[in-house]
Amino acid sequence: MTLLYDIEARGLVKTFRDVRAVDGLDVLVERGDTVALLGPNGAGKTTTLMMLLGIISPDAGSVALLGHRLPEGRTQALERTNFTASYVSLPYDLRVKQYLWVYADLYGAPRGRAMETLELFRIAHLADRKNTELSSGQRTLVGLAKALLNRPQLLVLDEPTASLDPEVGQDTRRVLMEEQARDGFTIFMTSHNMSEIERLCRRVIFLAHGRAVADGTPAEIAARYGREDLEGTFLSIAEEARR
Amino acid sequence: MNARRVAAVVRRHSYGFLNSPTRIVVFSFWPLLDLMLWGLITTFLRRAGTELPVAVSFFLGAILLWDLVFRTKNSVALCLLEENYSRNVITVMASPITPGEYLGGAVAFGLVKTFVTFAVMSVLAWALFAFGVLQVGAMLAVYAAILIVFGIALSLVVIACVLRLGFAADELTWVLAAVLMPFAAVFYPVAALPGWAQTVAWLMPPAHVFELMRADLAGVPAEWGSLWTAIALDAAYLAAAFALARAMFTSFLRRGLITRYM
Repeated sequence: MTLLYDIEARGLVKTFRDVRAVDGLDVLVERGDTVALLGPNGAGKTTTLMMLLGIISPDAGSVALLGHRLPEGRTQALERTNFTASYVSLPYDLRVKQYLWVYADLYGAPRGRAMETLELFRIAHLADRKNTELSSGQRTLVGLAKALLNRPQLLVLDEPTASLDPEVGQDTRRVLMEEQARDGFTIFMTSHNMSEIERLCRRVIFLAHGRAVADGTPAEIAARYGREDLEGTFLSIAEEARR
Repeated sequence: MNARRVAAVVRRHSYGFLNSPTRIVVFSFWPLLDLMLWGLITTFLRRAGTELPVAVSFFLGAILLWDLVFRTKNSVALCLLEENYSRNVITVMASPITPGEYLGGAVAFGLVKTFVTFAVMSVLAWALFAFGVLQVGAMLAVYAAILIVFGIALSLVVIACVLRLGFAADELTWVLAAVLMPFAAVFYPVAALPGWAQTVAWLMPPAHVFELMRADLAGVPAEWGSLWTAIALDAAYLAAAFALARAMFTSFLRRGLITRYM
C-alpha cells in the first residue's frame, strides 16, 4: 500500500550566517494524522514550518505539500492548506469580519465561512470589532477562525493556544478535534504545552540543533527516555541538547 | 493571475482606508495644501503681471501632474508597509497569493487613490483658480500615463527596500520622490539646473514630461523625440525596478527574513 503524505520534506537544511538552524531533516506526515514538532527554543521548529510553507527557501532538500512540490506548486498547495501562529498579528485597521472576508477571497472560500468559523470558536459577537479592540486571546481565536476558512486539508499551527486561558484552550482543542474528525484534515503543529500535545497528537518529532532526535507516539518516546510524560521527556531531550 | 485574490488585496486596503477617518483626512489634506499653495502663488503672479517665459498657469498643471508620481508611489508602496506595520506579512505570505497577484492588487488600489485625488484636485483647480487641466492638451493622458508608470517603478524600489531592510526602509517611502523632485524640473525648466544636474534630469521621464507640458501651455509644438525618450526611460526603469523587487523577494526567502515578524 502506498502511503499518502500531506507533508513530504526530505533532507532539509537551512543555515543563517554561521548557525545551522535545520540540519538534514526529514518530515513525513501522513494524510489525516496529527503530528507535533517539538524541541527547545532555537531547535529549528519555526524555520522548519516556514520552509514547509515556502516562506523560507531551504539551502538543500525538497518539500512537497499535498503532493505539490515547492516552490513550483506552492499556490496549489496553499489553497488547501492554512496556517496560524501565536505571534501572528492582525491588520490593525480592519474589522474582524472584513479580515476574514479578505482571507476567504485569498483562499477561494465562500465569504459565509467567516461567520461559521467565528461561531465555531464562539466569537461571532466580535465580527464588527476592529482588530485593535481585541485581547491577545481573542486575536488568537480570530487567527484560528481564519485558519479554518478554506476547510483546509492541511493545517499548520505554530503555538496555536499560547495566549489562551486553560478553559478557552481546552475548548479550542475540542473544536479542532471535532473539525478534524469531520473533515479529516492533517494537523502539523508546534507547541510548548506538552499536555496539549499529549491530548491532540498521535505522533511527535523532537528536534534538537535542527535534527530529529526522536520520532514516535508520545508514549513511545516517553518510554524510550524513561519518563512518564512528554513534559519530562522534553526536559531530558533539552538537557541532552545542551551537553 | 487569480482575479479574486487580486481583488482581495484591493478590498483589504480599501477597508483599512475607509475605516480610518484620520487616513482620509491626511489623504485629502496634503494635495489640497499643495493646490492652495501653488494656486495662490499663481494668482499673485497673475495679478502682479510678472513676465515669465511660460504661462503662469503652468504651476497648477505641474503640481497636479507631479502628484500623480508622488501619489502612485506612496499608495502602492504603502500596501506592503501596512502589512509591515501590522506585522501581518507572514499571514499574507502563508496564503496562496503570488507576489505578482499581490503587486497587481497594490497597483490597482494605488491607481484608484491616484485617480480620485487627481479628479478632485482638477475640479478644485478649476473652481478656485480657473485652471482647467485640459488646457494641457490632447497629450494629457499620455503624460499622466508616463508619470504613473514612473510612480509604479519608484514604488517597486521602495517595496524592494522594505523586503530587504524591513522597518528601516520606512522613511524611504516618503523621501524618495522628494529627493528626485528637484531633478524632475517640475516647476522650472531643465535649463535652470546646474550642468551636472541637467544630465541627471534628462535621465528622468518626468523632466521630459514637464518640458513638454510647458511647451504645450506656451503653444510651442511638442518635441516628439523627447516624448519617445520619456517612454523608453519609463520602460527601462519599470523593468529594472521589477527585477530589483524580484531579486529582493528571492533574497527575502533565502535569508529567512520573515523571522523579523515573529
